[in-house]
Amino acid sequence: MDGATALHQLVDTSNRLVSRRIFFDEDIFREEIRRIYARSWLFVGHESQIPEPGDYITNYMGEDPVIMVRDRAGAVRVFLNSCRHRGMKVCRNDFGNTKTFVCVFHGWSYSTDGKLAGVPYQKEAYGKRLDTEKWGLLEVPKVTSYGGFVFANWDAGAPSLDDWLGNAKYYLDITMERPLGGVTFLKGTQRYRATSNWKLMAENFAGDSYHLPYSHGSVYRLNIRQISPVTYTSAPALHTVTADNGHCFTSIAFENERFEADMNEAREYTEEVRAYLEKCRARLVERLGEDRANIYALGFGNIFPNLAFNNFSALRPMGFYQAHPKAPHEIEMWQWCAIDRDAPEAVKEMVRVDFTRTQAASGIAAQDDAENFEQVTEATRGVIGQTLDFNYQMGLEAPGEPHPLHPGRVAPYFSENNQMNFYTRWAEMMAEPAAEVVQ
Amino acid sequence: MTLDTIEDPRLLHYEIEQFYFAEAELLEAGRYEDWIEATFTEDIHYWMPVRETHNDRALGVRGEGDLAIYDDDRTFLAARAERFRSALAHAELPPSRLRYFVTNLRIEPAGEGLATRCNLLVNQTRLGRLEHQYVGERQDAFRRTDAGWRIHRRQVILDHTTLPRSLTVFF
Ligand code: FES
Ligand SMILES: [Fe+2]
Repeated sequence: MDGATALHQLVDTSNRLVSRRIFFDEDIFREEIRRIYARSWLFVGHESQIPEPGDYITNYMGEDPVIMVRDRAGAVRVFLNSCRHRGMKVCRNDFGNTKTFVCVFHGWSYSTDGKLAGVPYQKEAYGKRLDTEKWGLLEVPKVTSYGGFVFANWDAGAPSLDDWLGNAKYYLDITMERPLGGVTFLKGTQRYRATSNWKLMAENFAGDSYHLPYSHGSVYRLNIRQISPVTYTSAPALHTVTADNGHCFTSIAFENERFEADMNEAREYTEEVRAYLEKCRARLVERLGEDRANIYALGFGNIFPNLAFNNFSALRPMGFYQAHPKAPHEIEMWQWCAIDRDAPEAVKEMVRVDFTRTQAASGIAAQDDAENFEQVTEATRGVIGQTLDFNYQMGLEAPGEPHPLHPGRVAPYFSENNQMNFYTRWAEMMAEPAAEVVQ
Repeated sequence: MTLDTIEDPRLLHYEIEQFYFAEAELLEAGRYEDWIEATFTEDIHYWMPVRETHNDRALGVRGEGDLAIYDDDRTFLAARAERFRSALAHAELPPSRLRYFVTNLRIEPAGEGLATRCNLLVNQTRLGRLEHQYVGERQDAFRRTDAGWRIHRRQVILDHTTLPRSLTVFF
């Protein structure tokens, strides 16, 4: 599987077909960890999770465990979670606060800026032969925070995060700017395993509006307020927006529909909640202008490769999801819920509880998705199953038009343009040589 | 009520154990509406926190205002039950086979009611080859009602930091 020819055959952009092999082949999986995960800007955490010096959380970049820590001077750094002596994981807690990371194998210790700060029996064991300057924790060379979202990239020669996000930033700004007190992650990371290739989860968020009426049909039938006020039932108002570099937005409404739906729902709530919503919108107008304020909430989407998100309203959770690749057909879903720190208490509470009820590992939406991915895997992984293609032809007739006001290609809601956008980017990165990663 | 005023603690133990066995039978049968009716009060708070790995055991259990796995009231439990009953809830149609093992029951008096803890093992087999076990502890607060003992607060502390699968089962 080397060279652009073979990859061109796996992702056929003109007929919009994708070989099932890319979801199951062990060699392709190894290559995508090298060529995509080691060269992409990957989400590693949010600054609100580590407010104080010494605070840290752990995460993965591809298959590599990392620590995101705020050092004593207040800077956010990301390190490979592996001792430089014999490779032991130096941090086995999922979160915490520390002055040093002490390796429990032989006791090397590292300060929060990654320096090798202590070596037991250094004089007796090494004399003068250990250059401690050279044996600090391996630091991810590129780390950039955007709206508190910390992205890291192992490729020292990678373009800036701004360039990577391209015109997707125009839309993401809406999520960053709408909360009056900034995006704030709730404490806790939820994790569950799923039998699925990571790309199935990514493409589901990237553009699979089409699965909502059927997969989640039972959810929409329930008479509960957790259901988004603007759903597929208002499909004419909703759009697929295909952005740069494989980034995708699905269910964008341009004409203020989402704000109006919020105000409509809020008639049942207090004056404080209504005033809050007005303030959120006014803030968007002030910071981003009327046109972007009219978008108000992004629906759902995926930032290439594996940061998925959804948010349908200022009265609903901001959910963030990362499908970590573990094997060709195994992922670990990590997910978080964010709130607006300055929202009324009643809104914060509603948002927190709604996330649990709909998107958590037990959420009424998450349940159906897991069943789909597992059984896709079961029915596709055989040698015959892998000879076929997946069909992404929805949208062949409406590949997307420029919008007079907003960037990206805009197409109807039911579309597979975004999935193709994702796989086109995937094929591009797979055709380039693997990164010469650090050092 | 104190343990001394309970006439026969062994009888109480038997009574609560039977309550749990009957509950397990309803859960195994997927009779979720009956389960809610026979188990919970109107003001039930059904909660499962996120577990994480931390040197300090207590910090490894996330708190009430943090991210949770379940955080339901009676209305939402009923909505879940209604969804599973609908022919469209593909995640549980065909249904999983479930077994509930409830052990290590401990009972303490708490005001007019009871505080219990027990260990829980739930085995799920699904379709042809899916096998999952969930292990944890139930912490229940019981109150006497006209219909008998009912639970008004259930906390389920699973041991998993990474759940083996997204959850389609109740605990
Ligand atoms: S592996 Fe860390 S000190 Fe030896
Ligand atoms: Fe879904």
